[in-house]
Amino acid sequence: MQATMRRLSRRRFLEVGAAASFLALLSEKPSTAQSTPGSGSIVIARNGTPSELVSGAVKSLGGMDTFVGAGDVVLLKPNASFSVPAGTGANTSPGIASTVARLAFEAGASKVIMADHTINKPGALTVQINGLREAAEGCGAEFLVLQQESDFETMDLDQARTLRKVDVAKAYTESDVLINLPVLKHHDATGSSVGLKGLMGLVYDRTVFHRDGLDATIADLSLGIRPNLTIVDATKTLVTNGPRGPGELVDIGKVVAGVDPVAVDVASMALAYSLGYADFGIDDRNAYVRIAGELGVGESDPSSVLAKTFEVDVKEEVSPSEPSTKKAGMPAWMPYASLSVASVALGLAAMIYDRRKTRDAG
Amino acid sequence: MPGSTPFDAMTRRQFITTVGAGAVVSIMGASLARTSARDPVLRPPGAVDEEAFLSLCARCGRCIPACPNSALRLQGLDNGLQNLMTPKLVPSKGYCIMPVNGCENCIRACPTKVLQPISLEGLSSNQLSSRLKMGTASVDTRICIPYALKQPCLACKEICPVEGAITTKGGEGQGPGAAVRRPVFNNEVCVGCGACENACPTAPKAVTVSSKGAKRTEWRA
Repeated sequence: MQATMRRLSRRRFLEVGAAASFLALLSEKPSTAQSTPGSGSIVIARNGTPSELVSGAVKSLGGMDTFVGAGDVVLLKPNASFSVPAGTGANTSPGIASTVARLAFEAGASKVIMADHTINKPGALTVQINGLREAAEGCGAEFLVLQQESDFETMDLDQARTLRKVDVAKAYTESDVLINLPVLKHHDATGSSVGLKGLMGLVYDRTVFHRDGLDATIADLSLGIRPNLTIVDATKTLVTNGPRGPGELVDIGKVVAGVDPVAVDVASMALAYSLGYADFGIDDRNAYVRIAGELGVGESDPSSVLAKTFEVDVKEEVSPSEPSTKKAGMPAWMPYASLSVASVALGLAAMIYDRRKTRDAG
Repeated sequence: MPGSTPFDAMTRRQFITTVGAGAVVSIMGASLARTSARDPVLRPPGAVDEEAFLSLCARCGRCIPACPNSALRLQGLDNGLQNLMTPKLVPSKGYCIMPVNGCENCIRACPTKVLQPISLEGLSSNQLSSRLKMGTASVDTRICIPYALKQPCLACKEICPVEGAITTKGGEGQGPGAAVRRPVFNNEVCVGCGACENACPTAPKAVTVSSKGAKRTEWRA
């Protein structure tokens, strides 16, 4: 009698377990089953010239029309901080900046302004050396060197934990659209520098960031400056001795784009992290990403970000765009699938065993 | 005044004159003494040796507005009478862009050639100090954020235009504070442009630049 009870309950248990696992597998699948990127996705464009990569990435997100309307004043924020020539990985590539400016004009922008508060002063000389002034002016945009205190105005950050007030560029508050154009690179102090860190280029006094803690203040700043789109230059990546270099350059050859500024940073860092550069990881390093996630600015959990990340080959006309989760490790549903299979197998084995035992006993 | 004599009046006048003269002499003496006790003033790039500089500088101040980074100031009385009105580099106000980056505005503005043109052609960034060295940066680790608070900063390294002048140590470990890199200042490579002091976020500055180790050139017509 007791034996029957135990037998039944065990079988029941296994059957229920198998069913639950299978259900979990089914319910898990749809979230990654999306086969084409949408405007909420993160797109990684590969296999093309810098200009093709930008165009391909923006196209996959629905085209520049999605972000820029007719008559809009568009502010582009490249990293133009350092007085070193293009190709050294310290600044955004001029070719990428000018392509975005051109796309903005094509989408109907009335004015395109590139701006940065350069680290190396005077800014006018810096943007001449790094080629970003030419990138702007070559396609009818203007380069605005943010340097005078009068270029900035005070912004309150009510939800901030540390940085309650900050002086941000008037060019930002006066524009209709902000497109952040950072370069993915190593940074000695924070670990790496991508979009969120790059927003410091719209701030007047950065000493307070260093003094009060870079991670906390960078995260706080992301509450106040919200880019409509972030396009990351991950073509030639400075992986050591950043942010100014000179350091080791890796030809990643990709452009990452998306609306969620936190997720874009996470997906970009993963490109260098997966090549073995630990400073691009999110732990003690790059903690600002995690904090920005906690503040609700965007998605900072790597597996959630990778689930909505698509890699696009710009040479292929219709991109089948498989999720790049494959590269980062096993897909998110894999544990559920293996659990289900294992449970079913166990259940079957138990059933056969039980049947045989019952028959032998009988 | 009844009862007063010319002798009394003389004494008073003499007394005032003597006190006045004494005060002037003692101020001069004190300020001269102070000058000799200190490092020379941090000078603009291409400055000739200090003796020639002090005797030939016209104190015209033309180099001051020539600097596009507002890095130069006229010396007041705080470094002695002989330094009065001579130019000094004040890193907390601005830093030297340096001829290697195409700026020699102060050198060109100088009518007495106490700032001499420097040829830096063919030199890489980390060799600049062989021909151009205005001074040397140093760090006070009791105030420097990564050293004292174990928090990331490196504003100095971020801005430093000279390859290898500021390197880092630490940053390999795991756990709180272990990933924080600290700046290391390499005196031989440093040019003394003042960028690091300018960027240093602490008050007072943890990073300061002095004229220590400056290479001064010979005066030529």
